[in-house]
Amino acid sequence: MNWERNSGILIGTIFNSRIYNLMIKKKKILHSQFKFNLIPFLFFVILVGCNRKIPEYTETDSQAILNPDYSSITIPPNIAPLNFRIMDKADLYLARFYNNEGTEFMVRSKNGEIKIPDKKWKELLKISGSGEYSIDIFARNSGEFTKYQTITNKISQEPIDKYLVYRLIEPGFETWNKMGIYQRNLENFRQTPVMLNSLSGGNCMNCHTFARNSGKDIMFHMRGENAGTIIFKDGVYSKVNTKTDSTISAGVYSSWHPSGDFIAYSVNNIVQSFPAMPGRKIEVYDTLSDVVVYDIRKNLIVTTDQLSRPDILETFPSWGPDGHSLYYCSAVKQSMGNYDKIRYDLMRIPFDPDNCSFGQPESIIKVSDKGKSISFPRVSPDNKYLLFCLADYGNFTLWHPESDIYMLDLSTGEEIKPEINSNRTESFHEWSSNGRWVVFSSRRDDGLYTRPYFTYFDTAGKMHKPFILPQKDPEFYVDFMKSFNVPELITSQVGLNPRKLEKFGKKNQTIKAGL
Amino acid sequence: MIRSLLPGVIFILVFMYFAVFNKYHILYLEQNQLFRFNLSYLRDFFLLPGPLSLIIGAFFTQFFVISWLGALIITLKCLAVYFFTKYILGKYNIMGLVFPFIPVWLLVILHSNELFTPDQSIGLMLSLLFTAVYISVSTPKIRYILFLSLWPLYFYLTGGFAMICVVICTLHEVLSGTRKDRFLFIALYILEGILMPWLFSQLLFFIPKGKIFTYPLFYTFHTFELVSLISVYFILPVLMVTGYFINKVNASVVKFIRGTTIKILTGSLTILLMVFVIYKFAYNKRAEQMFAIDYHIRQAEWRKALKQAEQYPDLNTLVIYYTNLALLNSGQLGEKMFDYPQIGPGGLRLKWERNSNLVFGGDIFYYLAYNNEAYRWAFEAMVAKGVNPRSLKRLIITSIVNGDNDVAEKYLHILGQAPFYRKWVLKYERLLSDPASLANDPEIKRNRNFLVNKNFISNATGMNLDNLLENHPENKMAFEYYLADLLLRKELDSFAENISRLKELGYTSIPLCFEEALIFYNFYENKQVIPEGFSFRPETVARFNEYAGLYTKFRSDRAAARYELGKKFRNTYWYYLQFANI
Repeated sequence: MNWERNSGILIGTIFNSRIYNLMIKKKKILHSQFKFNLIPFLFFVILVGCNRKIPEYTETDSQAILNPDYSSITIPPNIAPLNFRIMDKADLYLARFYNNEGTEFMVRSKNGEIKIPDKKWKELLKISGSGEYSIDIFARNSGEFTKYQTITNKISQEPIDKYLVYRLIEPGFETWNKMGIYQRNLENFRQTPVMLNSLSGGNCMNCHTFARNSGKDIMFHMRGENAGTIIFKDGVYSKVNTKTDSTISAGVYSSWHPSGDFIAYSVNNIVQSFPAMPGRKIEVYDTLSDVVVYDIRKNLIVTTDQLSRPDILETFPSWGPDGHSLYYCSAVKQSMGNYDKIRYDLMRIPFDPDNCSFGQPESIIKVSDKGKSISFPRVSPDNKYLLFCLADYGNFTLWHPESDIYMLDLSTGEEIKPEINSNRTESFHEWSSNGRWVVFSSRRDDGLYTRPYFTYFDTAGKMHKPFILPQKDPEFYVDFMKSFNVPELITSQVGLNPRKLEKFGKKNQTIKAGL
Repeated sequence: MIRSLLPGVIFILVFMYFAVFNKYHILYLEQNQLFRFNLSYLRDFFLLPGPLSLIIGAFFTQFFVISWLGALIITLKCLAVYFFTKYILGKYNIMGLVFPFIPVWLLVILHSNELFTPDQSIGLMLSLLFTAVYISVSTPKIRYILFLSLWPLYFYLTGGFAMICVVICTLHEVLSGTRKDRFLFIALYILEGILMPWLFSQLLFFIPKGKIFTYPLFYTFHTFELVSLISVYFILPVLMVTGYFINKVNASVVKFIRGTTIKILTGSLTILLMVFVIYKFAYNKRAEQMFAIDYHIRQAEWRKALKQAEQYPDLNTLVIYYTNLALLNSGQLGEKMFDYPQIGPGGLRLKWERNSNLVFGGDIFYYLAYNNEAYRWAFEAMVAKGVNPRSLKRLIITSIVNGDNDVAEKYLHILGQAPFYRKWVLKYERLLSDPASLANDPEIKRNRNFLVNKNFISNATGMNLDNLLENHPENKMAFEYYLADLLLRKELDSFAENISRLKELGYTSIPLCFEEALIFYNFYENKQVIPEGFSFRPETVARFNEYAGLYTKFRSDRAAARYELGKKFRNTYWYYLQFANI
């Protein structure tokens, strides 16, 4: 495997970072003037702004700087409008959207914010049989229009799952305040809460997981006073205490079996420490960890000696799509303080769902001897590829700037570093239900706040240039001070909301799992 | 004459009370939030009931950065409450001068506590405004329509404060209405008052059940303040009922009450009583002193902070911590630390207490150039408290020091949305765009010079001073704090081992407290540890001899020794060493 960083990607990231800074600077100028985008004014702009004629212009060789960078990307046909801001200074901006099928419209802006009308956007994506659309950007300075190089984006035929679920939380250390698990409709900008900790006494909640990318089956952990694992399956709510007398802890990192009948958990003794070196703010590591499987039907915790060896740390269980194999990460236990020597390899153990039994584990990728560590294995729905994070050590890659996403071709054993990484943290990733899209967490914008990025994974096994989750306000990410944690793609809406959960919580007792 | 002059005089007194006696309290309140001219920030207020009171409250709080302006704003709010109350009570023939002052008095009491934030009095003001408008309408039908149609919107905008309107408007109909059908509307008012908040909670807001009718009312006070808080919400209905019954009783009693002499006498006595209650129960001088120290620490006015600390009458961990911080920064720690109360090493850093003291506790790490730890405390304080200027400033500088310029840019952008911080933000924006100037900025330069290059892990209860010194032996402040820590722990062997470094760190004489410790150590251990190039001052040796003599004299009676030595030697390390319980 090539452990060297891809220099092209590095340049790309530096460029992105420059855009981010530019974006902040531009906004500073704007808020010194304090503008209010009144709804009627916007409506007027949209009405008047669309379908204008192209002005006379001179052409430049350079490309307009957009933020977010929505250029040369491949997008799903069902994504919400990719609104952006043009970072180059001008007193008037025009963005002409068009495709080869004759759909064409223009968005006019005085401040560089290009907010695409929803209806026209859908038309643009629907009609683009050629699989692409283009954007011409014109900027007016001193009465003269300049046209930048045309931006062309590809439109994939394969849709992305309709919903993205994530937890919004400050990227802090030990303290939290308001947090919530939210679902975002990717076809528009609607975000609704699944659970808010303000309705459950301000407790921590984490690790939301779905079965087969379906919003119908969801589980997540509640911590603190309301501790328990909430499992909402086939419309039935239950709250389970997955801690048994013989396991290290209640379930932590989880993976739902494709059959929907089992959930694999890691059980961990997690420690936090705070290094003093710049660039390293927090280390989260395990002093103990095993992998167990929870049988939902029998309310039983099952494990095997192979997954709970005392001298080995087993964690991050992840089912293969056929349900007959369980991937996980495994490291040799280290003494306290030697957290930077804990390095995980990728393992796989056969699983028989009929009698809930395990076979013999096998090593899939061994990197610990090369000074590397694997985390978050995720197998594609077609069982051909496996994505994982690779860092220098440990498993909590969120705080490891060197962490990148890698891909294993399960048929050839080839390890590939896709061109989607940055020189900052890439930490968590998940496949869409059709296997053509991947969502992953990245801190590439500012190095601290985690944002969800999407990449198209084509049939040739190539990942395309990633793009950030679109927002109605192109500058949303500049002001937003929470991280998007554990992004998961699901095909249908989660049938839960905080009110329902509050009611369920009061009616239901916590069930203690047996062993 | 009195009728027109008295309110003016009273409001001048209210202004003076806040401007003079609560100056630092006002400045502290401003530091707990950050009003931003930003739509997404404002939009978040609309996720729960009461955005109007919260937004107006936050908007006005930003002006508390100038203390007299804060005092003026509080006074104007009191004035508004006075006029609304006067107007409403006037409808019940309660013309007494003192009555409209009762809610004002209660507000002054509540505003004397830092937990009572400006949005609370804004909410009360808005509810009185609604009520005053309602009562001003003489046609019952219009009043009914007004209430039934506008109250839901008012509830949405002011939240729990609108419940006060339900109580007062209902009461008004009961007491002053004449129509028989009014009881139907009263029932509708009550029904709406119960139904609408519940409907909002089911359809619009995600709000805990316990707060459906009350959010954003603050009611976690105890005892005296809680009574005042309940009173401020219910005083008007009580006065209305009182006025109603007074009007009903026979004329001779009313005449007696309305006698001028009695009126002036009772009025004056009541006002005097109100002032006495504020002075005795509401005004918290110690809290004000603490806020004053906090303010001076924030402004890096070390000597002013020390002056305030000298006047603080009790042992308070925060005050002692701030004192040591001010002594360290003014270069006096080794010289004067025992001139102030000490409680052991716990006075050198605050305990990590989630949601409590994080905003204060990170300061020491910043000045010791323990950059990651300063960042961590500031970040956690921001999470616990919400976005606030103090944490943001610290995050910006620590991020710049660490080279995380993109994060610093983000926070500068956020802080820059608050007009009072634009100047500060511009300074750092300019520095970030000019790396040469940035590298020469004294504050950045100092902390960058001391950046950790050999990793260590944060000690949950200590300060990692040995680690900081291992990284940068030339970090004089860390060294001085390290010695102070050893002295406070009474670890004189380690102290004696480290004292030899004084010369290389630029000391020209042995600081007094260190000298005292070393003289004692040499005497007790029969050693001659004196840093090279230094000598003990004869007067210190003479004082020690005097101390030792007295100690010997009372050695058999520890309590007497403590008392006698305390008279003259309380500010010495010897006294701390032998008598302080840590």
